[in-house]
Amino acid sequence: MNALISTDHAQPQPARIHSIKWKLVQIIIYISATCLFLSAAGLLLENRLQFERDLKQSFTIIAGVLAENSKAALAFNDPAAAGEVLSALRVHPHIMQALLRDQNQKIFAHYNRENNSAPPALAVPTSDGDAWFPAFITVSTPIIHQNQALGQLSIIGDTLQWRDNVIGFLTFTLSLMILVLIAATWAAVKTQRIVTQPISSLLDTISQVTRSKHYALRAQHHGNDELGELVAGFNNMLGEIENRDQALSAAKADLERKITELDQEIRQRVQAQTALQAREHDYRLLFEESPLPMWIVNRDSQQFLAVNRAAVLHYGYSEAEFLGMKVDKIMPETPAAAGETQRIKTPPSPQATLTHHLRKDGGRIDIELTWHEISWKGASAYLFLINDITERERNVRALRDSETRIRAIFESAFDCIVSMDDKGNIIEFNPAAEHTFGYRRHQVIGKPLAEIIIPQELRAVHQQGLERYLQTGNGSIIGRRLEMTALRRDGSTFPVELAISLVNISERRYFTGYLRDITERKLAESEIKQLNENLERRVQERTAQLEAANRELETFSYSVSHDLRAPLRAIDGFSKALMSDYAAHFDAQGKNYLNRVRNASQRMGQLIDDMLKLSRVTRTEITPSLVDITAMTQRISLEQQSAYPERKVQTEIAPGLQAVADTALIEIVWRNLIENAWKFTRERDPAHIEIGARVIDEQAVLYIKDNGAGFDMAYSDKLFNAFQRLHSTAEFEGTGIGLATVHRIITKHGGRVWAQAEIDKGTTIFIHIPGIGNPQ
Amino acid sequence: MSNAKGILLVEDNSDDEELTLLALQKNNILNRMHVARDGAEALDFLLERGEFTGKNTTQDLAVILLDLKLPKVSGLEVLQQIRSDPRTKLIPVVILTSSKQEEDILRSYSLGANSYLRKPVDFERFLECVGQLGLYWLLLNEIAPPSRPAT
Repeated sequence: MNALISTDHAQPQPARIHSIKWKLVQIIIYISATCLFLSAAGLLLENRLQFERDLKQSFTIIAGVLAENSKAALAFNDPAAAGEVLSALRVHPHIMQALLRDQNQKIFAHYNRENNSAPPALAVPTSDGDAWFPAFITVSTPIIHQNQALGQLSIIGDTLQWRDNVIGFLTFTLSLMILVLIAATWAAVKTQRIVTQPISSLLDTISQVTRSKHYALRAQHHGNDELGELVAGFNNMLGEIENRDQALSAAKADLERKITELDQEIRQRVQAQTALQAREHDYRLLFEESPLPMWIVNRDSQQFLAVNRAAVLHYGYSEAEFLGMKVDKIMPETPAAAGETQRIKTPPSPQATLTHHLRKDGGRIDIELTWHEISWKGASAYLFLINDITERERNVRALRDSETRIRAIFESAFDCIVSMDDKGNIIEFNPAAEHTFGYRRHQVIGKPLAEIIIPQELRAVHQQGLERYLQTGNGSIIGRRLEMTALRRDGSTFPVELAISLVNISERRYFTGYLRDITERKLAESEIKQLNENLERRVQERTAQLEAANRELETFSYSVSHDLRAPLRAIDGFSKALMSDYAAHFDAQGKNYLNRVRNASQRMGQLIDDMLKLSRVTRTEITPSLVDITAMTQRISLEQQSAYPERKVQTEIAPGLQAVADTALIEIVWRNLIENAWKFTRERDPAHIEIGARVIDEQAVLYIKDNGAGFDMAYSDKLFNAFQRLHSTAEFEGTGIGLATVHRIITKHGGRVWAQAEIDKGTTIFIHIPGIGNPQ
Repeated sequence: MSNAKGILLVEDNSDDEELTLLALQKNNILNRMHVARDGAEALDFLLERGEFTGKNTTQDLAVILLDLKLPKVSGLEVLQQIRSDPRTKLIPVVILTSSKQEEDILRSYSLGANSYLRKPVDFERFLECVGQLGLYWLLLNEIAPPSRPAT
């Protein structure tokens, strides 16, 4: 419950009321149930006692009747008759046994409800169940006849009838109790409102007041009981609080109003003070930050009272030094200064006075002085304003000097300098211009520039350009160097180089042209042009001659290819025919000669072929691409191996060799080099050939190295000449054109080829062409 | 059968002519030989003009051995004309010349040459060359059937 209240702040009251409601209901139910229970228990007890009495009485009557009827049987000792009598008990369902004893206490006759013939004496239960609720009831009555005891009759009966009776009673009583309890509960629920309604209403009001702080709320009044009094008391309390609250609000409003007024007053004062401070600050700033030195001097004592920063900077004295000084330290004791000191005492003049002062370092400065009479902290004082015009005086002199220098440049310049204003009138005209154009300066100043130095046909363009520039600010020729034609006084024209600059002075624009007579340069230029044209023509002629020569060369090699080979073939063919068909006519010497004829002709055929190859290389245009040198040399080496299967040659080719070259031509190079390597290692077993790349003098170089015959380095300069051989044909066959072809191809690629060799050790040929690469 | 096939040799150089005939002979190629000594004569023979009019010269021609460098009409021109005439355009033409210039080889094939052989200087190799030529063109190669409808 507490948890519920603490967690549910929104509606704690209903929960509490709920509890009171239920407490009331519970109490009512408890009381009702207790009353009912006690009543029922009492009734039950009464019922039991009554029944036992009734049963015993009933059994006693029956026993009395039976005793009376058994008297005869006893008297006549006739147990059968007695049994007859006892058997009449059958009509009574609740009598279990009957025993008839004679005067000797022996059983004379008996009756058993269950009809068993066993002697019942011992079967009689004297007691069963509990004391509160015995299962059996035994009644005995003596049989007396004429005051003589004949025997005794005992009857035992069960209590089942009573038991049924009790069960019926309990069932009824319980049902009744439940009904009564339900009714009581309903009544309790209905009636508890009488008590809880006012409490609930009161709690609602409390809750509202707590939430809204609205003290004018009142709890609803219910009757005049204690709750009524409670509500009335609460309402009174609320009334009291409301009154206090209103008084408090009024006091608060009053207070707020007063605070606002006070606040306003404070603000006004602060504003006034701030304004005052600002003004003071402004004045102080004006005084302190003024670029002009200012000081305040006591009128009577001539002591400095205040100085600004500019004064400190200008005069070299610190502020403290100033404040310990009098003005005469700065205005020296000269007659003029004495006059000034005198004058200070006269009323101030707004007119500036020119004079000079001394700085701390003794330097003299030219100044312009004004002073005013002011009141300074209650004393009369002078405010001095000092304008240091030393710099100004110096600038005026400098300007004059500068003007003179510039004028000298202007006067002595070799180039013509002509200035005009934005109306197009000449305002400057230097001696070079006078000389070039033939006018005197005074003749042209103020005249329109266009009419003086611009040829008639160009004046319109000039005028348009000037107007456009003045209107739009777009001047295509401002700041550029251009060439045009100018007009002399005598009417002749000549070429000039012209640059125009613009200067704005006091919102007016002035244009200055720098002109140079370029007549001679123009002449030189046209000569150069003439020369160039001649050169061009000659180059064309030469090119044509060269092309013709090339064509001739092609025709020549074509003829060589056809016509020179045919006779060789004839020589060789017929020699062979002679040898085979007319062998009988020749002796050994003759055959030897024929062989020599044939060898010579075949060799010449080879020479012609190689020469043609070389000449084709010369004519071929290079088409460069990235060539896989490794793959190419591997392929050529394999071809060599299959051409000479008996040779044992170990070939080592570095992977990833590349070159940017003409594929067909570079293949000719490598074919030549590899064939050479094979040829000159013929005597080696095994021969060793290595193809790789290395860096020599920071250049990538491809090389092919063999362990062949080598050569004498003394002849290395002849190695790459056509038809030049370093071995005899008898040693190694060849035409001496292969390396010449290699050389020509490499040179054509812009590269270089060279060799290193040692006789009988081997040869290494190096190739560098731009674009050789080896990714390794 | 091979004897029935004729060969036309177009060759201006008498040495070469002699050597070619010698080579053919040494290779036992004994087919009927016609020799034309310049381009014009070759064209007359092939197109049945002039002295060859009506001689049905191309009837059993198995191959033409054509030199390129010829007086009057060049070998390439002869080739071009042969290839543009329906009667001769299917006859195999083997260029047999001294030149190995690339442009010659390219132009010969573009004009429809069937083969291009360069005469070696070494006569033994020439013999071998002519022998293989004869073997191939006269024995192995089948020529186009002589279906010549009179169009």
